[in-house]
Amino acid sequence: MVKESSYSDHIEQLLEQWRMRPGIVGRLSAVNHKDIGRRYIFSGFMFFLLAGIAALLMRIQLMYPENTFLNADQYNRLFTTHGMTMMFLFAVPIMLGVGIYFVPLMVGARDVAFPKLNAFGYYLYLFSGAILWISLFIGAGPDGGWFAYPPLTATRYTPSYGMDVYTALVNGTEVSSLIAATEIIITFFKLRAPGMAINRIPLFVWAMLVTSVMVIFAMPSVMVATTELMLDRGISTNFFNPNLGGNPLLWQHLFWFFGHPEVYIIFVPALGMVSEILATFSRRATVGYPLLVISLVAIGVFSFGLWVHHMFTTGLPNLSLSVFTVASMVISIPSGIQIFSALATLWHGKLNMKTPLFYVLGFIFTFVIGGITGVMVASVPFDSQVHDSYFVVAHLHYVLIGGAVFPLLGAMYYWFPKLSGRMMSERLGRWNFWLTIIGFNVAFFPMHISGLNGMPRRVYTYLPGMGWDTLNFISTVGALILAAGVFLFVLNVITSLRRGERAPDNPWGGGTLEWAASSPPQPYNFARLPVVSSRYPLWDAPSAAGAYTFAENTSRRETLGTSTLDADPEMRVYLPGSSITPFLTAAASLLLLISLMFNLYAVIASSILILVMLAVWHWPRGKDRSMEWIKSGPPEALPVSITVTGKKPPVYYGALLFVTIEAVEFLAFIASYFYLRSATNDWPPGDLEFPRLILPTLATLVMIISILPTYLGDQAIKKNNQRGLVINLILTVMLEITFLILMIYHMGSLSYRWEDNAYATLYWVLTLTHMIFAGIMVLENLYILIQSLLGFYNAERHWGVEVDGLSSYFVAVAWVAIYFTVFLSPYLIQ
Amino acid sequence: MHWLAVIGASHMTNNMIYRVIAFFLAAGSLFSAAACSNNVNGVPEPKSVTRESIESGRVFMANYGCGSCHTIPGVPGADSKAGPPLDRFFERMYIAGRIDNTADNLIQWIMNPQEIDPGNAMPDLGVTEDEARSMAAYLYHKPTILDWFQR
Amino acid sequence: MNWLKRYRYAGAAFFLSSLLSACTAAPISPANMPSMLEPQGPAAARLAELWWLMFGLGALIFLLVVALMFAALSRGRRAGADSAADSRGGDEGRKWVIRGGILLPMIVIAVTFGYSIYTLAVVENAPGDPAVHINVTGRRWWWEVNYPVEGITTANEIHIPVGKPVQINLESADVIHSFWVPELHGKMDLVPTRLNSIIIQADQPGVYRGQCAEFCGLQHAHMGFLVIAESNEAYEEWKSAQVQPAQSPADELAADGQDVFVSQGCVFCHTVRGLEDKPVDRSAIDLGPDLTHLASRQTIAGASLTANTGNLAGWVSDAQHVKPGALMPNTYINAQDLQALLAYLMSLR
Repeated sequence: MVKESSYSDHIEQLLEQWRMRPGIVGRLSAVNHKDIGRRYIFSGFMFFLLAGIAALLMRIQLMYPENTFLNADQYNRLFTTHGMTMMFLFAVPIMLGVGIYFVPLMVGARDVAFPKLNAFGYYLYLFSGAILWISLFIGAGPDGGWFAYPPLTATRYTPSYGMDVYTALVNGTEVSSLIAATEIIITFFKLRAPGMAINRIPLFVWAMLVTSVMVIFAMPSVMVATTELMLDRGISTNFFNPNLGGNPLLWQHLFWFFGHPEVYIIFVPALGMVSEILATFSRRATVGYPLLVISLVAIGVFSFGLWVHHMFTTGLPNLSLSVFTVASMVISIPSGIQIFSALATLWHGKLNMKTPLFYVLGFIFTFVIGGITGVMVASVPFDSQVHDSYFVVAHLHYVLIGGAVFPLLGAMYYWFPKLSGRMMSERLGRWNFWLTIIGFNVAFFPMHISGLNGMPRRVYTYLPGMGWDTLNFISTVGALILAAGVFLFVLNVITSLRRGERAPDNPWGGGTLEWAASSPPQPYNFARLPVVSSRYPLWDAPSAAGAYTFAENTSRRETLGTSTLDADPEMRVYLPGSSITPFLTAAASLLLLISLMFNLYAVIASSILILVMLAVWHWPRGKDRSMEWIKSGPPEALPVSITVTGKKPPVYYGALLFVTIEAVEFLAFIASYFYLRSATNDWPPGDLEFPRLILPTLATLVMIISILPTYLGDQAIKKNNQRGLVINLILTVMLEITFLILMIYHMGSLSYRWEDNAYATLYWVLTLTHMIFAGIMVLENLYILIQSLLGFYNAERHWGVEVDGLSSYFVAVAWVAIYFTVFLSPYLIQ
Repeated sequence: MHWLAVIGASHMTNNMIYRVIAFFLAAGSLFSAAACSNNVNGVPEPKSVTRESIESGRVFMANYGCGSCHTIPGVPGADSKAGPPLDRFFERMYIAGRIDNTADNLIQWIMNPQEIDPGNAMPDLGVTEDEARSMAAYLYHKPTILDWFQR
Repeated sequence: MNWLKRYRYAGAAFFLSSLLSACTAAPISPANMPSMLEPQGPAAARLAELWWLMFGLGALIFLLVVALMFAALSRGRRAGADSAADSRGGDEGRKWVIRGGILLPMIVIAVTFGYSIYTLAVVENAPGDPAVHINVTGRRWWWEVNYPVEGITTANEIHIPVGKPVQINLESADVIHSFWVPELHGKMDLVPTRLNSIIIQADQPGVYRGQCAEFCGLQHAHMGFLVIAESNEAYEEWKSAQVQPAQSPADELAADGQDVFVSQGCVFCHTVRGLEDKPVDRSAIDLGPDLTHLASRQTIAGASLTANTGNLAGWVSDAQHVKPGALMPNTYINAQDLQALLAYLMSLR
């Protein structure tokens, strides 16, 4: 009896800690992964519906030749917005959002690794999306295509604000995707339930990991590309200006280096959903778990090797085209494994024919067509015919709708009980499924033929008599049927939310951990944590679902940190509770995004505002200042992540990931440099002087020396030497400021400016970008310095210093790379 | 001859669309039959007009480039504003603000605008009388729901 | 690959039968459709062959997968759903995953890749030197066509002798465009900073429609052109007519029109060779088409309108409604001058 009452006390305490606070401020302060994940999913579907309406308007315009339903300008803005919304605001965020909701549940954690950051990412995404759609409604929507090829998108050919909206929005959403990816990766590696070794992780979670890693490597590339476009448009740099040494193909390389993985970023989570649905509804393990994991990873790796197949008609040399052909075709092998594993699972299964399974069958049927046409367009000679024709429109919708949206809809039917606590209607579900799949095929299959018949993409109308009239009419009819299907889905969601049957915890008899939580899950997910000994713990050992009693401090939010490979308990991860700061910081970022379109001073002002918000965010308040409170907990408890020694806490890995993201960004800048440089033998062009080396070399030495005090300060605080830390931090800051002064002096003495030509652009932008990084680093070090002066750090609490040190090292290393690129390479490569 | 000859023409005789939406057409014809009984402004509708001559009128309007100056419902690409719009032409009282809107006058005007009103903006296009008759038939026919499906 | 050719109509029939049968009843003769499935030149013929090969393979795989899916469905449904879940024995079907998921794609890839490389080599290395060199410049939203040897400049219309390889050098004056005549060859982009080229050849005399295939702004949809393949004699005749400067106006109306053409500013953007034109700086970006032999062309406005008096009247007076966003402005000339101008333009044969 005593035990029972203490258990219910425990639940009550957990609930008090984890629940959402009341009121609007409480809602905006929510950081729980389920609140954020649900919002991602809801916003994603809202954007899906908006972009779907845009698509319908376009289909109505194309119903007849020379139709006047829309004019060229409206059509161009609509197709651009449709593409951007579907790619940036629907597909990627909703997949990551499903991941944010279900990954912690499926690995038996209570939340993602950095809940406040997670909330910030969501609001940033929402605000970016709002910018796009508001701009469309006030007639300033982007009109250069979601691929935004310069020089068409340069100010000269697109003077309107549309493309400025584009550059701002892409940067906003990509930052939010990177944040979500970081959450999922760290949750995957550090927060799994005890016993969930690396070979027992559910396939969906594996898929989300692969996706997130792809996000980390792909998104920085497009952020650099759009930043370069923003600079080209805003301050007349010459990255893509063909008249002054820039190259439009540079954009295409950077964009598609992101853009192709992007497709797989959308597709891989869908494969994970398919595997989960299959296992549950064929009442058996998915066939070939190791093969499936390998194939997911292989898709992730290969997807970075085929971006050039979007550029087959730009006149690149045939040899490189052939290499990319083979790479593009090889990716059909892991995809084939997925399909045949699904078939084998169905074959050996005992099928429970419910709507989610229907969607998986629809996925197989549709995606195979998209995959086959994918192999076709990977062939250089054939692609020269169908590239940028409606054949490609058909192909990409078969892949993205068939390959990603159908599994997503299936997953919504599957997981709806876990999202809302109610079941969706099975009858409406069937209608929804059949209308969707029939409408989809009627809409998109004819596009294969209109493409083969020579109809180019992205045309707002077409001449009669080309053999496209009937096909387009059919496509429009199909689009209307598809819309009816989607409408039924919306209807089903609304009615089920209101009057749907109450869902039990495990309505489908699933085998993975999310079904061990209640429907919908309690805010803390699991009171006692699950212990995992197989891939389908609820099938093999249902009683183990609450077997781990987590010795925790129930006066705050904590979850269990485990080791990377075997998931042995290592630490208690201290998670922050509700906070309004993420929302406010995102609001400040919204100001930055808007001011990027208009005014440099506004940019500086809003940047300062963001920095202030970040300082407030990380300032330790209240009990967090007390070491006793930080370490407090039951006597048998594991160490708290903040003071853990011998093992590294999640925040360290998170910082490593952020450094990786920054490194990829610098690499993209450096790649831009060598790409433009390789096009000419005249470098620096004309009678421009070679870079002067004295000051930059001196600055480089200062930068390299600054590594030393960073390292010493880190070592000092580990030995509890607070004075040593302060002195070394001051040294670091002084060295970095010296570096900045030297470089500012050097840049001020240059005889040319970034407008002059591509060389000058690269010289200025690469150096200045790094100088801004170094400037922020100075502020960061000063921030740490103030905290150490206040005696905040000691031998136990030193991870803040270490994380700051990581960035310091990175800034130094990045500078060495920039130095070699900008200052030495003109001498070295003649 | 080649593709140019069929600009504007091909899709109009496209029977397939009727089949796809035959149901709507049936409903539409009932609706249009009711609508046709209203005589508008007393302008006489030309007698002995067949569906074929109306359609060939539309083809001629497309081929002579009428749509580059006029907005003409049903002719693809005809959304220009240089000349007056030609929708619901049977409601007009005058042609070119100069002559009465009768079938014969319209045919003459289409054939020889420069003769009737020298120096006006509409050029002589070398239209034959038969062609002009079909064009007039097209301009005078009252659009029904059928036309919407047929565009 | 003759066997492929033999079966291609069967393939086509199967492909099209997946649509409503009524779709094929559209009354357009095949030569009118800019379709890659009706190749009219050697390169396009090879590409169409490649398509039919891949289509055949793809159809087989698709049917195989769908058949397996339905087989698995009927088997799995018979097994019944209420029995307990089985988390073990996850690998009983693995050999099928390896055969179907790895071996099958590998075979398909080997065949497709091999045939692609073969096709690429055949298409790129056309036998014999090109008989004619033509420079094509993409502009928003029309095509400037230049015969450097003969000194001919025209627009939206490329005349080529039938049966001979013709090299087209592609350049862009502003943004990226793409040159695509599906019946003759695949497409090639016109990228600023690059000099691309493509070799086309037509086997039959005829008019083959091409269109810009890279999104290039407002009027991307109306950036077409015609490739007119003619017998050698007709081609030579056309050339000798085109090298002539414009004829002086034959009648009074046309002579008035010439004055209008000069005085109303048309000459700022448009050249008429032989007309004593003013030394105007034609900045490359806003250049309009050369009008020396306008009336000999079949189309105007980027091959979106038939070249006749009616269309010309609307185009001259109200270009912004005919082709909104085009760089041709609306001209505000009085009705009488318009008649004269039309007479002059239509006399430029």
